[in-house]
Amino acid sequence: MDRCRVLVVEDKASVLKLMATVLGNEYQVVPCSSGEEAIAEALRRPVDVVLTDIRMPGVSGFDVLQAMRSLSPAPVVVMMTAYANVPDAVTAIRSGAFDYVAKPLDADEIALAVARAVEHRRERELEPLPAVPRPDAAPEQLPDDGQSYRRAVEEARDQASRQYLIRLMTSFQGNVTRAARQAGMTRESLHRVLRKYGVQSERFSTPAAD
Amino acid sequence: MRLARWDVGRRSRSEARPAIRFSTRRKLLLALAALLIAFVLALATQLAGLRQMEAMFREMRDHEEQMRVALELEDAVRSQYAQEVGLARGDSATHDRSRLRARALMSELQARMEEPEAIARMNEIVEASAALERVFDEQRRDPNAVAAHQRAYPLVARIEGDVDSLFALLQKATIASRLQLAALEQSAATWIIGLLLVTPLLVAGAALYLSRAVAAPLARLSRGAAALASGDLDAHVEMDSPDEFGALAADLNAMTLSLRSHQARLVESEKLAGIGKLAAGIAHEINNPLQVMIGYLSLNRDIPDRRLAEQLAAVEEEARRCKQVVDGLLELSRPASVIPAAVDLRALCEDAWARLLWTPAGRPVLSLDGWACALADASKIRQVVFNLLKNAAEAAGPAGQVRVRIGPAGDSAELAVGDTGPGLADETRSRLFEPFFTTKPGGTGLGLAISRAIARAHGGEVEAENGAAGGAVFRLRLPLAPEGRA
Repeated sequence: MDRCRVLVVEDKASVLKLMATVLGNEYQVVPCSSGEEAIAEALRRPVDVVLTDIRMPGVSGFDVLQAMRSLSPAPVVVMMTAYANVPDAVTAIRSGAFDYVAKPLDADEIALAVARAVEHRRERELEPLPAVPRPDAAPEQLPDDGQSYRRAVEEARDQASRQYLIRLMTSFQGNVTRAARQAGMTRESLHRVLRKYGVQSERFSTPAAD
Repeated sequence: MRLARWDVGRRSRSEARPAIRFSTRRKLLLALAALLIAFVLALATQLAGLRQMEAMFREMRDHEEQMRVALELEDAVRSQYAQEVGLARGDSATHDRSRLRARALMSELQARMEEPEAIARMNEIVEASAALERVFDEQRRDPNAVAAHQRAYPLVARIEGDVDSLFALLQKATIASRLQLAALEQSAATWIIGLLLVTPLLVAGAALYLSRAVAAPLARLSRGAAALASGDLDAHVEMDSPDEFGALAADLNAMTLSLRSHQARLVESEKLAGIGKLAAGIAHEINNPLQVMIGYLSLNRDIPDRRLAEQLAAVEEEARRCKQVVDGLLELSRPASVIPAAVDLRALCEDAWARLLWTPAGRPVLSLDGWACALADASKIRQVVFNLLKNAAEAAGPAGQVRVRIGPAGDSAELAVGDTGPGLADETRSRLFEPFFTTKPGGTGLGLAISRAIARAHGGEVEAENGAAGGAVFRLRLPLAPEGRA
């Protein structure tokens, strides 16, 4: 299987370098320091996943999202922001973004977000329907305050992450090493993430072990 | 849904409105009635004086008339005497006429007499006149009788003497009346001069009273209102008179108080809006560097060098704290909207206590009393209660105690968190709810500011005071849920 091609769009060089470092081992990372560069790169060669900042000079993250949605096959887009707020989150998901994440994220969270996006990309390959906005991720008419953002967006994300981990562990029958390889994470990283989301790997092991 | 703001227009106890016991209407009536009574009295006195003078005039006129009649009578008697010659010649008609005239004058005079002495004189005259008539009648019967002249003369002289003394009597009375009249005139003049002098004083007195009772308080109220209008929110009108002005002053003071508290809130909300703008900018500028820091630090969690791993973990923790500060700022500045539902404050308090992390040294003892049900957003209020409990637990220390009293207080549900800590210094207390004010080495100074913002978004309040038994007490008040009412 080819390594997934992941486009990282970020105007801050240090963040771009970090993303390349975190994801570089598992994915074919294409770092882009502007929206224009990202769109040109995506037109040149198809990409699987786009991880883009929202606020950038010139072409913004939302412009990148629009451009990616018009491509065929359309890459899965994950939006990142240093100023998370509900209106942006709602706009992102409605415009067809797969995920909306608030910086700062630790390495585990970055890996997990991309792993989920890659999984989504593979599912869509089998069933090539255009991605539809998912109402569970961003309920309508959310007031813009910290509480609601956390409750609505982050809780929904946490739920989705947990579901992903359960699917992952189920398909690898609790084998963390293989699951980690599949998710593009280290064993330790996956262990930490499993602990964080309260998923116990032992529960997925085959009954033959009993 | 956003709940109505806490009612700040409530009158504080110190500004209680005094009862109107002596109204301005009564004061005005009193002053006017005093003036009216004084005028009526003066008028009545003058009227009585005039009547008295009128009676005196009448009396004098009477006396003069009597004097005239008396003189006429004297004249008539004299002419009667003079007719004697005519009578002797047999001209009785002329004599009869003068007799009838004397009789008529006598009876007129008799009818007018009032004083006993005059009446006595009059009786003598009547007697003498009757004797005179008898003398003349005898002469008429016997025209040759010569002695009539000699007999009549002393009678006439007697009558003349009586009339003279009567005249003198009447004259004396007239003089007395004239003197009395002069005295009356004098007293009337004195009264008028007195009134002319007293009336301005009386009016001035009434005006002074009215000015003190009405104009002066009005001027003070006007000054207070003008001070308020010019923006002096410390304006206070000191007036506790039991009338409308006292009530108005109390209302004005209450209004000033309410304006002051409104303005304080306005300033605070403007401050928060400013912080909000700043926070959005900070979030942008801080979260990207934090992303890089946390990203690389988290990549190095699994390095074999334990000492370095520990140091990096400490750095990562601090970086995460920076993120918390930025999150707290954003939360503080965002208009918190509230989705209220009935919240069991006791259950919420127990839940929040259970979430508190305790140090290896242990944590203080919690004593929880009472119950109340508030109309609030449970997740937000849990954060407030968690903050209050965390502060109290830290103040009390592991060996201390945290006391929570829950119950309805008026229209509110109240949760009071007390601790056995050192209490609050005055300076600390006044700044406690300001963003970034903290007395704790590791604190961000946002917890209480956020707690108060959340409580106020509910139409409630968080307040701090020192407990009677020492330590600090924080009171969270929220609207009482209908289920929580007795």
